[in-house]
Amino acid sequence: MSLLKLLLVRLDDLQRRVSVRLTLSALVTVAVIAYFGAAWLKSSEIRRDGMAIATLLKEANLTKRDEVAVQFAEKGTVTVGARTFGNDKLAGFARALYEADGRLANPGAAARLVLEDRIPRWVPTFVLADDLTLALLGTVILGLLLLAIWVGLVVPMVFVTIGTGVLCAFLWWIGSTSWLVAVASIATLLFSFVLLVRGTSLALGRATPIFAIASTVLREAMRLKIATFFVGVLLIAIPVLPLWISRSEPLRYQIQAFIARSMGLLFLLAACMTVFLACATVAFEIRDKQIWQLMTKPVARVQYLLGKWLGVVALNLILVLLGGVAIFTYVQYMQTRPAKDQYDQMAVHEEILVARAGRFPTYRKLSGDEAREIVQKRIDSDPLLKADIENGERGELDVIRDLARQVHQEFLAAQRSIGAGEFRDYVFEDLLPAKRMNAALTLRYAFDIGRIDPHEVHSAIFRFADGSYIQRDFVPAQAHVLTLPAQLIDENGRLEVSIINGTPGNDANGNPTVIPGIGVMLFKPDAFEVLYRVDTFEWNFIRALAVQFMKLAFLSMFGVCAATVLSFPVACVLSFTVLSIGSLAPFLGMSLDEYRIKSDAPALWQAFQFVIKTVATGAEWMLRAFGEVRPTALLVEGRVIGWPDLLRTFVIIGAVWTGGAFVLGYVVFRRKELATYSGNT
Amino acid sequence: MATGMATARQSLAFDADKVVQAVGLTKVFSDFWLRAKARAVDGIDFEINRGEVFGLLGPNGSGKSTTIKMLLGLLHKTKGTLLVFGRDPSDVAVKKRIGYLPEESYMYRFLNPQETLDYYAKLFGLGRAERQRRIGELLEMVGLHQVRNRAVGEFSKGMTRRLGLAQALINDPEFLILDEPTSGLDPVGARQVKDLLLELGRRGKTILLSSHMLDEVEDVCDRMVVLYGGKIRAEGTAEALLTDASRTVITMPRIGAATVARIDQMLHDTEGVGIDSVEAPRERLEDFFMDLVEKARQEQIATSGALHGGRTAAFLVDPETPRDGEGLVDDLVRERMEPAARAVEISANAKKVQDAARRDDVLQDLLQDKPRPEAKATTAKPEVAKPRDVDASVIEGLLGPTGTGSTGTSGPGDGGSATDPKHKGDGGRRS
Repeated sequence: MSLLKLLLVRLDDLQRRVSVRLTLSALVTVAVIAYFGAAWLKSSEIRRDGMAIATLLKEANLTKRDEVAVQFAEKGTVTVGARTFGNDKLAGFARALYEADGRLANPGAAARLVLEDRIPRWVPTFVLADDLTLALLGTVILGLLLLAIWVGLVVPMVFVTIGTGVLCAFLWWIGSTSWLVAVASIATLLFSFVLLVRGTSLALGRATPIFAIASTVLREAMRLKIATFFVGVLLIAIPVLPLWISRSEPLRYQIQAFIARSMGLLFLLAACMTVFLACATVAFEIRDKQIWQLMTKPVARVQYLLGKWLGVVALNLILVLLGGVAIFTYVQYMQTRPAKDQYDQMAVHEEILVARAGRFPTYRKLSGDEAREIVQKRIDSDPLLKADIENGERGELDVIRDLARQVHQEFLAAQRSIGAGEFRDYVFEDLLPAKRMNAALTLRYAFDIGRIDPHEVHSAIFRFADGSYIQRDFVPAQAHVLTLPAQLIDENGRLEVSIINGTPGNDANGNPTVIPGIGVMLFKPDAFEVLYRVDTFEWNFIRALAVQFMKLAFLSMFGVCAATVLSFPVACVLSFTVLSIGSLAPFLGMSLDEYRIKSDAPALWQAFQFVIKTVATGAEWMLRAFGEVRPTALLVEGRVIGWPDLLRTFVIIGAVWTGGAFVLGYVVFRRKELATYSGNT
Repeated sequence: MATGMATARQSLAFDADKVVQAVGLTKVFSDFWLRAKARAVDGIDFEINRGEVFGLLGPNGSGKSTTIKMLLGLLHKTKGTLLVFGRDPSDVAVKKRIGYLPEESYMYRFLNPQETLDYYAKLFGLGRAERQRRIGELLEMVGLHQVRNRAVGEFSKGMTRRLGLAQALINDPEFLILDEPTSGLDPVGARQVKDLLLELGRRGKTILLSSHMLDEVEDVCDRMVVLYGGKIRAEGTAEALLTDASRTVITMPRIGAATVARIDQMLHDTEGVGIDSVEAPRERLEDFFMDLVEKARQEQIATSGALHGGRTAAFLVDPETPRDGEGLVDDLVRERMEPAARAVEISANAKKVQDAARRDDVLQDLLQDKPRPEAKATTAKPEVAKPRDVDASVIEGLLGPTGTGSTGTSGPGDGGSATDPKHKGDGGRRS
């Protein structure tokens, strides 16, 4: 035996001793607690100071020349007790944060800016951002280290650390810090994956059929490379993704792009792995007849299905957890990148890394009688249309249905258009939660002016119920945001906003007036809304992962059950079809709304259309819930994935669909003859 | 056969002494359109008694595998009644008591033997310590202990087969179903499997053996059925089915031509028959091969594959069985078979010399043409197991006053013939 091998064997023996494991565990625990404990103390101090600063700034008014406001606007500093925070580099920007009435729209954001230079260098910034992040990261690191110690992977961990350290040292030496972070992350993720799989195998080590089958599925996934390809791609891609996101873009776009791509990749690769593994582990076992030996043991068929499902779901859980921790950590890390400006920095915290609820204005709808009256008038006033109906060229019902839809759309669209120099009032309701939390509101708008030119800038005036108004320039078809104080919400939870299509100016006599815009201002139904913070990004992220996990759990069950009766390729195709239709269900629903069976078409064609529509409608109805909650899109937009959404997903996808697939699969599988005819025909 | 089955056909009440009860068992395979494609098993009736080694014979396509698959719940019967331990074969509780070795060992290629046996042991709910103990003993027994951490995908067919045998025994089953158990094994391995089956049979295990190797079925089984076209064509013990009561074979040490002539004359004078042929018996190729391998093993020539197995796993051994029986089996496994001089195999070493002396006496008497007193025949009757391949009735007939009587009658369906089915020699055969 070579010297190296001998050394490895000795070290392996050493690490298996209980006393060594206990000692290492104690050392690691003390080290992690010391580091993260110190970080928590620092974080608490910064947060305490931040709250004190925000309170001071909130009460100070620049127009009234309050001392605190003046100091902040002119010197960029704030004094709390005997301590002064901030520096003169903030002076110019600090003044710009004040509104016309002398108030700060967002005292919290201002406090964060002031405290930026107090953040210590020995701990990553993102770790200090939130107690939850701190606790989570500390727990994860401690958990992984302890797991490595107790499953006997200390020696490999040390060697991997040394190897990665050498490579990272080289990358640091050549000045490639981005790649240094990526390489270190890849090594950490891959080793963590091995650790978690080993730990999960131990957890599934009970001598019961379900756990034994699940544990074997894990082994199969790792050794037959079915899963390792997708896992490897995922755990390498996540750390490398930020390198492909241009740093010239605003930071908020960089972070949005990373969240969108990484979450999308996580779900896509995990879904592919799930389908292939779930189908393969059953279909190949039936094809290669290992199931003959297995089912002659005391294993009930229901236990077989559950065991296979549990094994695939266990792997999904590992992937989602690991991928989720990696994405979250990287998001926090990317916050340390330089922002384009302070607005960009604020937008990251106020619009992206946040969980917001949105409200659209309340629009009036046409009543049935009003709609009927308008439709009839149009038919009566259009002789050609009347002639077509009378001649039978067009069905009267079709015409009425089309016209009614058109009339409703026009009525709504009319409420979303504002003539030049005119104004229209809008009311946002159900905003009491925002008022109670005193959360700053974000008014998001994207106006069209009849032509799209990125160089053109137009003007709109926003007037509020308290008489205050704000003038903002906008670029047509681009989204803009306006931060508003919660005080604008009245006691009934309503926010009233009037939009004036024009620019404030003076008339010939010098009196204040509105100079009309150059055209009619329009906006789409989802292009004007008010958003407010209801939760943190961290909890929102956890809910998003939970939704993804439940979708994967359903796919696992579907794949396992499909493979009990179908061959591997057919089961895969069917599973991917369900995944595709489910993911695209919202778009399918919109298409079906527009799809019409023409009553004047040939009967055969109508029958064909009817069949198509029925099948598509059925598929869309069944799988609608799969695509309705889109956690990635909501995360990217900083919108909340609410607990009701999560509960609904759990009930529909987690319980009903997964349970339904299981019941159907079991009913078919329990009567299936596992053996084949092997005689002469 | 017919009388026994008629009773079973009338009512199929659970009988605790019967492991398997089948009445009118039929399996018809249908195609996708539910048209009958093949009648694989056609109304067969059979029973397997507790503690019996039962053989299932038949050419390819006769319904053997289909019958076995129905016993295991892998196929559903089309008609008839089938009970295993008094329950439907698909009952999960029944499977706790069964061990199954299929015709081909369908192992997981990505697991090693340790993991494979651990997996199957977990399915039986065995605790960790018990699993480790049994796995160690089984791997030792089947000669795979040195490759316990090698993936099964790298195994030869024989090694996989051995592992298959080990997994069939992991739960110490009461009822063992073996489909071609020696398929893929070398002669040494095949002999060990036969010895194992004999020992398990002696321990009270019920064994269903399906095989094309007719000699191993003949050596091992208490009863057997022969299937053809899905129907039972014959059923009974080897003795009942194979004995040719019209002929007598006497085996003895080599004698000269003159002596042969005298014996021929004596037979002519006393029985009115002559000697049809005189041959020098040949050593069996199996025995020759076993000798050779044993010599090589003693010289400790290394082999990189499976090792030849060791002792039977301790957990399969019944601790209340007399020690000498176990030791005897082990001795027989290792014992070198000497050609020519030992034409009759006995089950007790202690009786070798005694029987040899008895043979000399018999021959002497034959040559002297004197009838032997009956008392001598009585004292000559061995207390331990008689050689099963020697028809004692002939000896006793020669020794008795009339020369025609036989103390034991053997016939079809008679499980208790002159030979005790529980005390078979190890692979003993007629020369």
